[in-house]
Amino acid sequence: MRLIVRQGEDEKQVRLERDGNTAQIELDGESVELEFEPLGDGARSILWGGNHYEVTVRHIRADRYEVSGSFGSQVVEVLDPLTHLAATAHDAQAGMGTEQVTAYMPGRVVKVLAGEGETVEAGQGILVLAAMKMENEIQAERSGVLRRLFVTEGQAVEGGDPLYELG
Amino acid sequence: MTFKKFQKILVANRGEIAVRVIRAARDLGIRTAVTYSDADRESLPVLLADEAYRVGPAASSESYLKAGAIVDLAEKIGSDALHPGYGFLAENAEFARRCRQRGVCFIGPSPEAMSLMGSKLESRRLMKAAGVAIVPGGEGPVESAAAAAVEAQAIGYPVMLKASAGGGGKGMRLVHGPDELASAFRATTSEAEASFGDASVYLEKYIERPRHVEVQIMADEHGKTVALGERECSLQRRHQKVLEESPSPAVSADMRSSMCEAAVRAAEAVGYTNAGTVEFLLASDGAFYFLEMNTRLQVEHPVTEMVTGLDLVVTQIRVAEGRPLGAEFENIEPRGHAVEVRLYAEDAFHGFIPSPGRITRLRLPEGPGIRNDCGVYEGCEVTIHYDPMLGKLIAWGPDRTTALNRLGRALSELRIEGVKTNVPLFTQLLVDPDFLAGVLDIGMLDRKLSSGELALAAQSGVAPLVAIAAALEYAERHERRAANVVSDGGRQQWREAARREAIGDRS
Repeated sequence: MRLIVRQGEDEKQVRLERDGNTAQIELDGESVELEFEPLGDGARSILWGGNHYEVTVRHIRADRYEVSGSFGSQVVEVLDPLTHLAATAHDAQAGMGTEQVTAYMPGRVVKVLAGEGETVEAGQGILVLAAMKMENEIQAERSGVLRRLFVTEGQAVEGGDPLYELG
Repeated sequence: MTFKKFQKILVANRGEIAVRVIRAARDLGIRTAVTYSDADRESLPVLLADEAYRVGPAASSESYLKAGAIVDLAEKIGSDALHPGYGFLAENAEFARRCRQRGVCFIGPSPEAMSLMGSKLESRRLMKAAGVAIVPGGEGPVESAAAAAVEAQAIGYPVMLKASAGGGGKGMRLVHGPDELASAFRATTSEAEASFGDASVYLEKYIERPRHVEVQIMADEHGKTVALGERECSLQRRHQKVLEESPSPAVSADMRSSMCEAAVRAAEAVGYTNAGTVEFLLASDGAFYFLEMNTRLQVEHPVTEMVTGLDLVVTQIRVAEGRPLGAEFENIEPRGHAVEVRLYAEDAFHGFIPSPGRITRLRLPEGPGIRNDCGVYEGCEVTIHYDPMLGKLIAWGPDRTTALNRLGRALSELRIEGVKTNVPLFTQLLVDPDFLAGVLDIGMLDRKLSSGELALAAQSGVAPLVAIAAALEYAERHERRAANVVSDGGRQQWREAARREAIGDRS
């Protein structure tokens, strides 16, 4: 899966392929391999590049995660390019009566969670998109009425395809 | 001689010091009771004590400071003694007096000694009479610039002009020489008049970059007072000690014996009994001056315990029972070196603001020379109601270098998660050349923090390890959520999850 880890202005592109307790990671274009062991409650022992690290990650809310270890602790945002786009689309169209949410990357709609005409609450799941082996829930950014649904379950979408319209 | 034997001690405090006293009492086979406020029902002292009693709501003015209710409680539950810890009611002479009136032994000095040492002016006068050096200065206010000049000449420049009614760093002016005095006098008196409505000012010798060195004393009720060596407490952040060690890197054997002698004289001058601390300002020329006496057990008492092998809290209880100090209090010489850091739930990277929260993970260091005086446990809540000290980490070694190395090792083992801590400050200090060389003064830490010499800037940007760890957690979290969708047909669970997230429930 492909992710963006961001703090303020700085962001890193992470491509992650996991196989059991090992992971193949591409970090800003550089390839690394590591082994990890969960210690419970978000803590992990990570073996990477001949070093051992003990790092704890906790989900705070939405995209925010707190990462702590011997270096102290830091809050970062982890964004899936898909939800990232949904948020961006929302920002771009804020203020308009309806907003159209589009897919950022190619993928497949595995589930539709709300029907046309339904009143949805902010944060409610609208549909689940699968891309790069990961399923991502696309949630309503605000409450409103689901005016149009452009996709059905099982449908493949291209980047930029409209997903739904919220009014 | 026959002595009292306490059956039950009421510990009228909270946090790590309540835990410390409970341990000492239990070592002596004495039953323990502890007070708690609504915010501390699940705190470590309550879990460890034999008995626990609610004294009121979270606000300390409504609970831990309720002198009357606490004395009533001590009497009601039949505790024959009360340990006040430090802070709260520990130096309240009226409280100690009330305990005595109700037949509850207050483990500490007499209310009379406490009152004498509680007054700045009175204790200064008493110390001078007892031949203990005080910061040289005038006996009273100076009336004119001319009178100030005469007095300043006698004291020796540089001097401080201080407003009699001043405090908190206001109404003070440093005067380097006679040519500055007249204008400084005018400025300080008018500032004092404007700020405090009292124009009177007095003179005190200015001591440049002093150290804070204090001497632990212990006195029994049979006329024996002993000094247990000194503690170096110069590392302070805004007048709050953060790291203490014993012995002081600046104190020679000769200086130690004259400091200890002065401390004993100070204690004897007020008929002091039980544990106490005499604080001195140590000037760079080796002269030391009485600052004040703390009439209680100190936060930093463990460093003295580590280098003397004595248990000060057990001794406090024994002395309060009327027992004389034993042979182990003869000829005390420090053995090795001990250093203590105060662990606070505060954000070292953002101006040390308190960081309340639940302690989600706690792993305390162990191994040779390490002691933890910890007041919290994994899963407990650090509230906003009290001082955010979590506990103290103490390292001992045969010499200072070994003790500091062990402290560094222990800090690297320590894990406290869920709240931010001041551990990064200590990690920085342990590589600071001045600190390692033992070159300290009471303003050093604040200077180094404001100049940026101690770099406690928040990490900006995403370190590779942070990015990787966050991505791993994200992937696993979403895998779990995806599994939920598949197994359940989804919709309701997704809604539930969204709702839980919206209300901040992380279960």
